[in-house]
Amino acid sequence: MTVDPLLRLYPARWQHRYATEMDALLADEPPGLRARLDLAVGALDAHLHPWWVPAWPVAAAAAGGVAWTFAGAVALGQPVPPDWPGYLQETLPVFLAASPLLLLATLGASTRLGPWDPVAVRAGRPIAVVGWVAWMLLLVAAVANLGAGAPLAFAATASAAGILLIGIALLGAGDWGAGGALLVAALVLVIPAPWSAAAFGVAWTVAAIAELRDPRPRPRTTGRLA
Amino acid sequence: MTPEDPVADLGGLAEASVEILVVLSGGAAHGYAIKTAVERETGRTLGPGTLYAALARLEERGLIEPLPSDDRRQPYRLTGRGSQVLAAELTRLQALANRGLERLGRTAE
Repeated sequence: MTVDPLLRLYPARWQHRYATEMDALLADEPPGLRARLDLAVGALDAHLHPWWVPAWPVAAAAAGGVAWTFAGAVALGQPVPPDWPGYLQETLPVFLAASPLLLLATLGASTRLGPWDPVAVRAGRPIAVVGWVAWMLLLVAAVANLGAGAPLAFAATASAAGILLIGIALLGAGDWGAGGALLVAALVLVIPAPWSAAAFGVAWTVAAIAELRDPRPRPRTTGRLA
Repeated sequence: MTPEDPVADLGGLAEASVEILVVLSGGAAHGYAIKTAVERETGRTLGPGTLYAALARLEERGLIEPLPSDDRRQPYRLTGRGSQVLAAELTRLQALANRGLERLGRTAE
């Protein structure tokens, strides 16, 4: 079956449930620019508000958490003191590679309450995204030896604030495992200790395990898709 | 987690959702029919992404349900719970409108 390419932006589960009828709608009324933009926003919304359990948040949290733990452990053992030039230079690329994964994991954690977004998630999600994106850009600057110490700490604090808000929302919904892990991740991210990077990675790894053990968004009870 | 207020909890989609429920209170309809009815009754464009974001949430909350169909078009109808929730929401909106009009020194038509 050929469907409108914009419908391909929707999650696979969504397409399975709605693509046929949405395509029929688009056949009845071919979309203009505004409707196409509306579809693109709708696709983003569908990714952020699933009624099913998506696999990518767990995968992103596990891969990012393990990579971050590894880089943190290596940084702990490296002989260069924290106040010397070159500190963390070897591990920065690993942190950089793990960052987009943990950005995805943060977004994934924010979808754990399904279609219902508490205020803390609505506030925490954009703050975390801005923090993570700024963090990654500044980390690139640090890898290139451009220096980004203070702004990097500010970006990390923004990420931590966003993660903290999402963690609080999850705890408020009784999601103790993932919520608690995110709370710990947020707190250790702002602690300037040599062990905090490894602890941040461990917290995300724990979050991945908790998400795997306790899938949240429930399958719908009505409709064609169980 | 079950929302306390199934309509208010829809956030930015609450208005479109109420309009969709109002259309379905007149009988089952598929996506295109709902879209054109909302646009005809409100004068407001309802994009396909917004329509299906609202339909998915309403179905998730058990306020509407799909009907069997051999066509690619999927008709939906209001459930008993959807009917109750819509009546409560319209009553709330009516009270709000009456209060506002009264303060403006006007009466509802």
